Amino acid sequence: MVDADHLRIVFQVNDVEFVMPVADLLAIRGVDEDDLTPLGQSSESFQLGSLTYRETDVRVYDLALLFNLMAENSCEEGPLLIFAGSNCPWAVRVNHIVGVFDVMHFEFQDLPAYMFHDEFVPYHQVALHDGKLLVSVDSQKIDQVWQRDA
Amino acid sequence: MRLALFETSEVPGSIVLDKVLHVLTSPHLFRLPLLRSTFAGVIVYQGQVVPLLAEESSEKQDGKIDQQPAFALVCEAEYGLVAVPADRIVRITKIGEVCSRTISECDPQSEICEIDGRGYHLLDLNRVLEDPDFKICGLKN
Repeated sequence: MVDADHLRIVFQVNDVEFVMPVADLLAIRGVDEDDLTPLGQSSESFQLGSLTYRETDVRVYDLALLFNLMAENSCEEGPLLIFAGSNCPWAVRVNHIVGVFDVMHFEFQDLPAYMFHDEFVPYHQVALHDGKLLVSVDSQKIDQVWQRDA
Repeated sequence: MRLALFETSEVPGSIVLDKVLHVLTSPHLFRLPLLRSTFAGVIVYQGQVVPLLAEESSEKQDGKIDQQPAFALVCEAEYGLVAVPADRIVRITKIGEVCSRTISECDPQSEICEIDGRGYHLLDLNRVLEDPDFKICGLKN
């Protein structure tokens, strides 16, 4: 039995790599496993649409938009990460999943608050891993953004 | 007081030498999302993540960012370490000998160190970190 608390998932969104606790995840869905019902074009929120997972409505959000990542390689075709959320499950689509690694392979460092352009930026930590620098996020922080967005 | 003089693509700059810990050659710049425009990203110095200041010209018109800096001066500030990008390290000089200080025309709170008719902006790193709108300005010669 593997303890998920010690595992971190690394995934890529528009050329930026993120790391997140595996314990935050509800499910990983492959390409074309789910039918996304898109929102109207006029929507200005982070929500892209919704889907049904295990008879539950799951809102799908745009992580690239939240992090202001230019869409040279948009992740319309990538896997979907589903999180439990505090009120209801939500999901984000990513370009690809790099892998799942033990937390001991990461060196986490806090970034000073003065580096960010406002207090609502949903990360404050980076992680050194295999010569790369990853954005370290947790689903609760992002969940708060979606709640404000609702 | 001694100054380290350096040049970026647009702005000749200077920093009090006592604040400079290390000059790195071709540091790897890691871009990060949602940073203040004051910062281009971070570099890793002796295992520590250090913010790297953005050059005024680092954002191109099409929104793409210039390539990696040739040098980074890793400096001590009140808030911790901060790195300053440079295209060229000019020399180390003493204020009062060959350098005379004047007030910057583009930023009255800053001083210019003039050497051989060229003005080197004296960078106050604490102010850079405190002021969210701060951008390095200087004389174009």
